[in-house]
Amino acid sequence: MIRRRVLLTAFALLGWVGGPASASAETSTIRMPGKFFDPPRTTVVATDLVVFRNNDLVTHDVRIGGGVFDSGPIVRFSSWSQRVDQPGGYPFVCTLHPFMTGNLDVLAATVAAEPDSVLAGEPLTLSGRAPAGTTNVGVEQSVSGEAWTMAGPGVAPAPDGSFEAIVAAVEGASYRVTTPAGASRPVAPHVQAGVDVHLVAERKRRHTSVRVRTMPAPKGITATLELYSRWHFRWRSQRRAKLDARGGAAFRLPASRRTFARVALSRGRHGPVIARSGVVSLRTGRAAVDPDTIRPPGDHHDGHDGHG
Amino acid sequence: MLPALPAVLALLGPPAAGAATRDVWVAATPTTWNAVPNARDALHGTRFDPAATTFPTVVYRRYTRGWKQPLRLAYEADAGAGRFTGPLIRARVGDKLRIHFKNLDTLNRRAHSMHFHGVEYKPSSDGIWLPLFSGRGGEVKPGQSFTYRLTAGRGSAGFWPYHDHSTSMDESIAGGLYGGLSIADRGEQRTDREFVVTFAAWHGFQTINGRAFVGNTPVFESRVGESVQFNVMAMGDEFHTFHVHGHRWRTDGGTPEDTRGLGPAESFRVRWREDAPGTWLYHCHVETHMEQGMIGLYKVKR
Repeated sequence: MIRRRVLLTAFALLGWVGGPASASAETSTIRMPGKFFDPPRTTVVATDLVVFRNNDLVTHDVRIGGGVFDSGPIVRFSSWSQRVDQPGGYPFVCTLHPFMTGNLDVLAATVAAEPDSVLAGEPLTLSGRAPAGTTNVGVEQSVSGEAWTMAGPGVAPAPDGSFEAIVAAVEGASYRVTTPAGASRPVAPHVQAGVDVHLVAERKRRHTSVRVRTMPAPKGITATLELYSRWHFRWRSQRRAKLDARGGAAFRLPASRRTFARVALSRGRHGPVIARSGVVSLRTGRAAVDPDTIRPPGDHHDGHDGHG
Repeated sequence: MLPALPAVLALLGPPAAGAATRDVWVAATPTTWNAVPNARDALHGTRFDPAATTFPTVVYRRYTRGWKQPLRLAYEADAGAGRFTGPLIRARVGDKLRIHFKNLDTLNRRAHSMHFHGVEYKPSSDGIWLPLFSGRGGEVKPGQSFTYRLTAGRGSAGFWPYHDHSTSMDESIAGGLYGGLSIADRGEQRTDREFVVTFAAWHGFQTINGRAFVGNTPVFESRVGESVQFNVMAMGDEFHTFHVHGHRWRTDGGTPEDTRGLGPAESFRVRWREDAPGTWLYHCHVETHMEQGMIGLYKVKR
């Protein structure tokens, strides 16, 4: 009885809570198939259930270093489980076989970045898991080792704590998420510098040649030539080409096309726009004002006034 | 003794030259419609959030036989009809029309109908809901179909509206459940170009064929020397005036005009031979309607 009270006190100090796990948290199992823990190191998210399963022919137990965590005897072919609420690193040992050791790493949250290599400005998906029941996860970034700042609005995770946030990738940035239990380990996806894109239009006798140049040159990116429809007052995608090894592309238009042109870069046909060139007049070959921004003379209001 | 068959046929009179029975397959179908796809009023510099201009609604669409697939005929696309404003149904005086209508309204799950102006039909094909009187054609329930039998009679030449006249008439017309019949007279040539202009309010915008503001409303195209016909109708609760820049046409009495008014469910067609190259405006000349989107472009190439 005394032993039980001591154990409970010890669990409370560590933040370990016994009893059945929350239905939505994940379960990790550490097996004892012989005189060893399998796997020897396990990483879980706070509130996950950890099951110690004795598959050996003899009795084992599990105790956290310092003797504060003790399962008591786990007889052969039985198991013992605990839910973990407090992040931290927990080395554990079987006191009956002191050479049997293992490590349990309890994290405040996990996060991974997808894809692991993007261009600046491209969407980066940060997904992971926070403790079950977390209502809000903050998304933070640190550029070139500087202080952590919010990288976007927080996200509300699913009941099991899983979440997904999309941010615009920043060159040299690391990302982490924060929960009431603490911060995740940072992830540092490879973010290449943003792309500058230039457009040159040259009128020939029968056609107009439109050349695209990019810096740096991201091979394989799709360049979409957009022409302005004067009768529909909007930009329309006209032609597509993959950037060549030097980051260039060329389009040929009939000389009769005398509207405005610009080019948009994206990864694949339907990817979000990574960069856009300035506007060029096909009539003059010179840079021009974006016709979509032309406003009535003398009109100074800011425009976004919804219903006309 | 019975008269010989040729004699009976002679008594019935000769069939009208070129008269035909035309089968048209139409359905009331749900769609998500954006009245301002370029998200701006280019004349006033106003920008719009697509969420404030896009709404689900139910419109008439043409289908292939047996409502197997949606169908938009080339002349309907050129006329700016067949996507929001219903199919442009063409016939000639003397023709019989069988309009096979199916209610595919899975959005509001309301009864709908088709009621036609300008043509002849029996009360059973009137497409109205009237307690104790109307038949199935006045209230075609979701999933059901009905065939309206119409005749393009002697006085039917012209452009006429059709619309829902069922129990859901008010909401359905406000949503866009209307279209037009274009009936040519006997011996009359069809024009090289035919356009449809439907004036109606929609979710706070003043629309032409369901669109508001230049670039979104139909951009009609023709060439100098071609004959053109504008089919104009109004739906809803307001009066409109149809005006085309740089052009005039003649009334039936021979008077030139460049603006003509029309009230709810009124319609007319005007014709001219094109001689004015350039990009022109056409619009409702009720200025507040013009400000709220009832304006479009007419492009005449040399």
